[in-house]
Amino acid sequence: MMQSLRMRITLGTIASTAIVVSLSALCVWFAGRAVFTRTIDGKLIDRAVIWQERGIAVSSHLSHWRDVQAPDLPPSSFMAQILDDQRREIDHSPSMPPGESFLQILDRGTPPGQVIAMRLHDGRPYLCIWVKTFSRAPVALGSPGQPPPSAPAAGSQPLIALIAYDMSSFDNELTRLGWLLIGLWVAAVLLSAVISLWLCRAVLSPVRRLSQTIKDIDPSNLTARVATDDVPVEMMEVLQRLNDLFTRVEMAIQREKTTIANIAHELRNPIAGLRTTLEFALARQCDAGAKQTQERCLVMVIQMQSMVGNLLTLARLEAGQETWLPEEVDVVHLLHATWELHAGRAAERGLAISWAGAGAALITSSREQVRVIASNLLDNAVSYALGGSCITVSVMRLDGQLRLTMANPTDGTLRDASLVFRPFWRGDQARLVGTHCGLGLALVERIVRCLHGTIAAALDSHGLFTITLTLPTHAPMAVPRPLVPSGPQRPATAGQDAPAATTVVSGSVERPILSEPASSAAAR
Amino acid sequence: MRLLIVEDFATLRDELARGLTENGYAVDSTGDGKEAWWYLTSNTYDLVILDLMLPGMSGLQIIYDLRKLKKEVPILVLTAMDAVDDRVRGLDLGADDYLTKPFAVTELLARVRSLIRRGHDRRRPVLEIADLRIDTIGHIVRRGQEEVVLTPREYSLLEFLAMRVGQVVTRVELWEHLYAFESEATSNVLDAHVARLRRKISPPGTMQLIHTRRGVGYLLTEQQEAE
Repeated sequence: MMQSLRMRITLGTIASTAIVVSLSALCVWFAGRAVFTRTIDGKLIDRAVIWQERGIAVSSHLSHWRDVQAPDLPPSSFMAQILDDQRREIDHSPSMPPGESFLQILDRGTPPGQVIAMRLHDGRPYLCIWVKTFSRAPVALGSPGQPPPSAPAAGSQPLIALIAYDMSSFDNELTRLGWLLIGLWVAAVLLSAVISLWLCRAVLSPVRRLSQTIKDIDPSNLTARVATDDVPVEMMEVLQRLNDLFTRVEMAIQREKTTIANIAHELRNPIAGLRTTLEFALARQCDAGAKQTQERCLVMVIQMQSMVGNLLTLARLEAGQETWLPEEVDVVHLLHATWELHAGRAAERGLAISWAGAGAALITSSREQVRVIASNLLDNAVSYALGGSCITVSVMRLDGQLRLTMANPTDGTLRDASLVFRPFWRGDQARLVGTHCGLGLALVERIVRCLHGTIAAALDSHGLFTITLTLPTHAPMAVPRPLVPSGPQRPATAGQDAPAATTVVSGSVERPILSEPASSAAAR
Repeated sequence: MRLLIVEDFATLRDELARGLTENGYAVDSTGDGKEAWWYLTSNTYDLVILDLMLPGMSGLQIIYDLRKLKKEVPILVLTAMDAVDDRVRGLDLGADDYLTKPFAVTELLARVRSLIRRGHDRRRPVLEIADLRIDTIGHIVRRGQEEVVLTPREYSLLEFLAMRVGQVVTRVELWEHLYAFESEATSNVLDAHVARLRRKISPPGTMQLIHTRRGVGYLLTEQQEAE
């Protein structure tokens, strides 16, 4: 889940928004609470100082509370209690709940003039302060020419004034503020989630497009490049590096293929010269010893020719330069015909063959390539099957595919069947007695892959070596290069793509004109 | 029969020339495209064995230009380029056959014989004139039941006359088709070859098949005529 860049950004944004908004809300809440509390504290202290300095005109009628209470405090919240020096209540404000007393502030030993938070019996919170003051005669506050006394008059009674403020409304306000902040927090988080999702979509769309583009690149297509149009500048350098990397990989592989193809191609002339020389020499009169030497040399030259041919074909298959047109091929008939070519050698080794499966198996594919497959598989089986054993060939059709299985017992020297498709790999037996160079089955594997089939080799515990391959009954053909009329030009060398314009045709369909001898050097 | 080998790989060219000469062909050879073009426009050949990748002038260019000049000489392309496109390109430009290197000499010789026959509008490998039977594959000549032993030159002479059976073949034509460019043979040699061939295929008591057209050339026919 967290591997997704989009999810990471979304969750990161939501989490950071939640943290920031939470901290902000807490700050607002505590700041509001502190400011309000300080305001109330200040007002209580102001009122206490006034009473301490001016004394209290105690009256039997408490209507004067209206006058003495703090004008800037809500009347219902302001409470006061007047005690004599024996802590007996003399008077209290009408807002004070019945039976309530603020004496506990004195019981706690709180110093005068200090505001403390306490609770009423009904659980309501309040702030309370007490001061020592004195009684005086009632004076109409604010009467002109009669300033309030600033010191106790003679005969005045010492009093204790307890002043309190009911904080329940303030608490309610704080609670409301808290809920408001929670609501804002939720809204902010939701909003940030929506915005981050939208932002992710907008910001990551080039990344998504790039990802899709890269995903669409066929691993076998080394010519593909990532388009750099409409790409954010931040990604441009990465893409250019990626494209450079693709180019380098393509060039390296192309160079390797071209080198192999060129070497194989260039070897053809000297091999042709050698073979021609030897064949003409064999036709001339000479002594038996020289003739024998020439014959041996000719066999080696033909082996070399086969290897070079297979190398060139492999290089072309790898480069996707082998083209063919679909033909109807009866695989069973082709296998039987190919077997005829190997039957003599099989008889020499005492090998039998057993055919199983369909009597005919028509597929639409490349006849030449299927022939090379059949030739190499049978040649391989005849060369390395256990002498006197039986080669089993089975051809079946299933689900739009043709399955060919070829099995033969081996002498047990083969250890790992999967190695047989490696170019130039040869088993110990092949090294000792074979004349093959280890390209035949590699060639078969590449051809099967080009024909959109599958191939696998297996070796069971009894030494039975089995090759199973499937071919589509209608193989998607390799698309031949377009043929356009043009004058003669110097042809491209092997391994290079001949430009389409150099291909000449006069209204005909491309088709193989001549068949090459089977590339049949197979080896295990 | 006279062949031109155009191949830039000297070893192969020399071996081909030597081998084909031993098989009774008159062979010219070159490794350069422009020189090949000169040979082709200055001489008459029964077959051209042509490589494609040549210095000076490409094989494809030579084929194209030859056909443009309406020259119908059979061309056997002999090249290391074996891709389908390459074959199609060469054949579509006017080559008659295509052989990829390396090749078996027997296959090359068979294709050479086949192309030469086709060049002379002959399809069958055995040519028969009266009771004379020429096996162009084994180079075996029989008159009736008797095998006639011929030298390669005599065989070539007979084969060329047989390809043009019923037609008068001029001395110049014979010269052009039987002797390579650098041959030092004189016209007397040609006459001597014809005389020996005539003696061998028409021993006393048999029907004369080779007739002389004075001042013109020779005619191989089964029709009897007064000399």
